[in-house]
Amino acid sequence: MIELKHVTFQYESAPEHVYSVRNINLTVQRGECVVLCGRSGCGKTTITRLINGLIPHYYEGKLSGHVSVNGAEIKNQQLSKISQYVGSVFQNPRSQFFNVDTTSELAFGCENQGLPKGDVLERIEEAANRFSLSGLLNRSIFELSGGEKQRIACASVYAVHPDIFVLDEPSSNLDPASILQLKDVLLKLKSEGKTLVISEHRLYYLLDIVDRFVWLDQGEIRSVYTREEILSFSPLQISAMGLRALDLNQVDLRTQPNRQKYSGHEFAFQNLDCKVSGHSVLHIESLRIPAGEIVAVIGHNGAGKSTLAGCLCGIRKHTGKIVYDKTERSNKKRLKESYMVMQDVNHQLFTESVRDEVMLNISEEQTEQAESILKQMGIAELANCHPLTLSGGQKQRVAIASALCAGKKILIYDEPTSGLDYESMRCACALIREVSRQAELSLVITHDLEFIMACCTCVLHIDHGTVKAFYPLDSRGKARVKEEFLLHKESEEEL
Amino acid sequence: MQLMEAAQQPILRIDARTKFALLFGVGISSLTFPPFWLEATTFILISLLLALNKRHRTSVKFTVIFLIMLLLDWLVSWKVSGGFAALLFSLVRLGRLMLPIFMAGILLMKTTSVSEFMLSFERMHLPNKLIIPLSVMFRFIPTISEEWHSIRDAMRFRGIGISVRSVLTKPMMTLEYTMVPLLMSTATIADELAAASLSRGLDADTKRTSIEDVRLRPQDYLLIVFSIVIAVTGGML
Repeated sequence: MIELKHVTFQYESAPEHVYSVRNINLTVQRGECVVLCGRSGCGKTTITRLINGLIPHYYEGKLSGHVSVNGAEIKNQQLSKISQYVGSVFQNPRSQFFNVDTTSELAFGCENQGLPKGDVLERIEEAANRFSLSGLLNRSIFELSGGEKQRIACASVYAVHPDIFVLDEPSSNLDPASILQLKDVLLKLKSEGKTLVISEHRLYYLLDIVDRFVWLDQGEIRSVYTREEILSFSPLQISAMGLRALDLNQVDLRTQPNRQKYSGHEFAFQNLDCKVSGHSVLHIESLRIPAGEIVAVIGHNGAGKSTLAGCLCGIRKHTGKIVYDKTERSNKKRLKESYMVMQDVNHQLFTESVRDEVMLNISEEQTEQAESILKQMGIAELANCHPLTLSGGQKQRVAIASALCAGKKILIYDEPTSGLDYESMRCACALIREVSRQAELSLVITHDLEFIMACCTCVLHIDHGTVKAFYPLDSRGKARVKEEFLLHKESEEEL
Repeated sequence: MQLMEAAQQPILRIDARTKFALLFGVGISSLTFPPFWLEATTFILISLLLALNKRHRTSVKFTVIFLIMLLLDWLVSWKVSGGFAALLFSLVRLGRLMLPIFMAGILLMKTTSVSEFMLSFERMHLPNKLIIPLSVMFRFIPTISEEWHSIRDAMRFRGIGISVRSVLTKPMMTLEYTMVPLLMSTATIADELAAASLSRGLDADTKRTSIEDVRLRPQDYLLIVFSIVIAVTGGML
């Protein structure tokens, strides 16, 4: 049983009177599944850290109130002790593995507890059987897809045999098929009577598992809903709470149709072929994309979406041609004209202020233009800030602003909405649509159906290294992409 | 046990401690300009070890480079003479001497798992305070290379790509543009990694166990003795 009584916490680095959570009272019974939901920054991650002991043992700050698990106060115990009965799964698959190979990772928790070798091997086998991981053992962590990584993360926690699992936005880096794999794992845990505490704003995959939803806003628990109660909310109410759609089937009901405007120009891919160490990973016989579109690039992990993006923007070597209105554009020219907004925007901010960032590698005469772009992007007042002090959404704006200042015409976004709550997702939508007016082509690699419906004008479906379909997102296209997402889920489940 | 049997074990298992010994031995020996027969022996030994530890391609690649350098050495001493030849000669020779050091480094880094590292350090009786950061450091190397690839792509989009020219003409700027994003992204990862591993009991007071089968085998003793011998005698031969 988990008990939080009058818990208030303020991170050490936070300004005064900015509390992460305030006066939290929450009891979670054994075997119950509680989902903490709300906007980004509402305090849901903080609550998971309070339960697994990272607060106050790793993240320091002012803590008042009592947090106890199975009757024992968290702050009086060592983390290594807590880890025996509270297992944690984190958001980012690339930073939660201590080992670089899967089997050692499964063993890691047990080894730390000092269990004898025979027991550890037995538990690995048990966990591997429980979650059908036999194909994943003895693999390098770096080879796995996001979904496989999260399964390994859950299984390696499971091997320690904790009663309580705490998961912090476990789905935020996953594609729809992987989310279903995660759901399977969670169902199994629940059926074994484990207590689950999950912080999440994507709720659709949790509906069959959850007992109570706890909705947080600005660090306080505003209301607690049962599954029936939350299902009775209209989609509008759900998005007003900052949450993602409960039912993928309903997502287009709350978005306006996207207008198609044909500019008369087009990009054409001819006989494009890209090889990685001898194997062809992408082959496109012929594909024509009208200029000015916002293209959603969908498909499984590893289907060739990023390779396509890499070829288009000229950083991947390939054979075949990419043609704009009948004139071929060389790799070099395309690299000059294109820009990719990466999933981790931190990789592409290089300088000490936002102004320097957008002025990087452009001439003095364009200063005025740069200032107007800063204004247009709504970051003029941040011009003197250090880019790395900004929030995720602001960083994304700075990256896009710097692309616009450099006169980039082909804009590629790599999963711009992964891990975003409803409002931030809508902001990203508005931003991408606004910017697309100045671009020749916007390409968005995404797994987010809600986002596709709200923002994109065409869908490019990549499968097994080739184009499976390309269609405009009119009402028929919408039905088709929805079907694609739902069917794709079912076929995945059979695997 | 069946599950573990599936592991693709290398043909010749060598312990992480042996790999450390080899790295130091080869390093010292190479820097003391060993005679050719010793250099060749060391080279062949290490490339064999790489091949036996599932690094065939690395092994072949280095052998080709080694042979090309030998050929160059031979051509230079035969055809050309004078100051320029001497310069070229010593450059080629120096490069060739570096090869086994790189290879021993690759052998250590690429064929050892993090848990093997941890256990070997424990066997070397290093204190826990040192073992954890050292292991994390080794864990980090592939992560850094992953991050580095996407940063390099990001730089190319901004026209600040890394090239020989940019390093020579604007070394500080190039360094800044690489280090700032690299440090920022790795700092975040390091923080999350630390939190994740602590929440899984890494700093427990109980003694860690391990599923790795780490012990010194006959081949390890032979190789360690070899390393010590080449390190000590390097300067004398």
